[in-house]
Amino acid sequence: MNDLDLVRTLRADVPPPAPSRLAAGRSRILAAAATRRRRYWRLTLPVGAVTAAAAVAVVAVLGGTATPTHLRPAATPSRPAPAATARVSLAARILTVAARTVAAGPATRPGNRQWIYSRFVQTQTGTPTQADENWIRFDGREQAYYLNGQLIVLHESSGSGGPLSSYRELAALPAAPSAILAAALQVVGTTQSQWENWSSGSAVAELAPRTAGEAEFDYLAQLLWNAYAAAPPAALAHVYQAMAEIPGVTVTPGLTSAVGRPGIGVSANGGVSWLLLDPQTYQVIGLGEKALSRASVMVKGAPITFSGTISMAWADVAVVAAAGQR
Amino acid sequence: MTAPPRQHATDQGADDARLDDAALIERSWHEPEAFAALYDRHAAPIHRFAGRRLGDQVADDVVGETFLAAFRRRKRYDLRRADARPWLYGIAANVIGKHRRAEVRMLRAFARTGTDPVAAGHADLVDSRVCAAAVQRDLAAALAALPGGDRDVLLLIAWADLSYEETAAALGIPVGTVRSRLHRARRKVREALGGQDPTSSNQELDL
Repeated sequence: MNDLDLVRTLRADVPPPAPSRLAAGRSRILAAAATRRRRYWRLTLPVGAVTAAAAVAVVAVLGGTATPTHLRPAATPSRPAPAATARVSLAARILTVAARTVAAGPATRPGNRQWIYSRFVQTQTGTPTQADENWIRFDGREQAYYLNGQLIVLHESSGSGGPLSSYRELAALPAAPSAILAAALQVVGTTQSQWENWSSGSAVAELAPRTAGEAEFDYLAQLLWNAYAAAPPAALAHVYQAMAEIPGVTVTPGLTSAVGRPGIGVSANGGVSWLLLDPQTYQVIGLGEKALSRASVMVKGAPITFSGTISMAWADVAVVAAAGQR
Repeated sequence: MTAPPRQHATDQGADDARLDDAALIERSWHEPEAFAALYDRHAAPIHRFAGRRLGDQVADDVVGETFLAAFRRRKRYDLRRADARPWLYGIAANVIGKHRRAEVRMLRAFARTGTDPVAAGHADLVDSRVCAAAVQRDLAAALAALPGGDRDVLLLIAWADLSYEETAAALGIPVGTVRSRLHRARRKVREALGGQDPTSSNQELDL
């Protein structure tokens, strides 16, 4: 027996964990999966690598007039050309109207133990439309979904990531646009590698931001997207005002959500990805992304390039009396 | 309106069993629930590893945190690596590192008193609690005195049965560093045992 074997004998009689000890960790994974399933920009792998030529075919997706679509070569993603003054002012104008509209909206906040029902729809070029229903208590402590006709309820010990924590995160933001943007960079960082780290855990930013402006926008877009159940009107207004201050932010009227609702797209990357606002209420109704040649991931050691369009929408959100009710 | 049928990892249990870890992780990219199968595969040994270092209670948290972090990083997993153990143990080592002071404190208490706080949680380990061999107390003292990085290497190899290469991958360090850390750690262990011939301790350990 050598010294390494001796080390092996130390605490060797510690038994394997009882299954009950592992149950909590497993439900944490399932709860995260249930949440992630509906929040993530899921880039389903196409069959085989999509060439740049194939990507060209799906470019002309974004309608509207305010944002030109830029097709960029696969290997050299570049910052879109700075938006013309007229476009910036259109974005600023629309976001100012949006801020004023949401600020005047009703300040409804569900009770901590009230259930939020939501239906999420995702469309993606080349794959069937996916819909998903979920119930979550406002404080995030319980989640539920149907599996083969049976309601599965998951308990979360912390409730972090639930509607209440999103609500509080929004409410805790400063009011001034510059302070909000500074707070955003505090969270997501200021370097490319920090942005990549952040986006890997982000609900909305599948593609890592490439500029500080994109990082600020992605952070705010995620806050708004996650606050689907309720958001403090004043904080929502401040976020729109802050978005208007991000250089290069553009708006594109005349878009539609994954469920066909009309929307106004707001983008920080020249329309590659956008947050979709209702043209009347200016509430967030969806997210979209043109997965051009910019997005490539390593699969089995080879880069795969995505193409097509992904669009996600909150098709239905309501406060209900109990899990399982619609 | 009826609920859409939902794919669930348990529906695919038999299927999952045939997949290697990389394929399972790749599946979880678009079917997040599939990650639960990776949990079922590796959570128990990682729990035991963490439990041996920090006790049962803390191990619960370590395992939960490790797999949640792994789940969030699953899209960055290098799919060329069929076995996810080094990746998972690397994340676990990081999480355990947050409890470094507690780990050292418990090892020192064990060395000093002969009562192992880690074993205190296990009723069936009452014997070892009452009477730990002197060698084990010396070992605990030696482990407590190691720098954290050296202890990580030593225990990943001795307790988690990772190879040098796997340990290097887990900790994100070169294999050469693994070798030198292990060499240093083993030397300290031998010194702590008074330079005695380890084979002579068989009797003492009642092996």
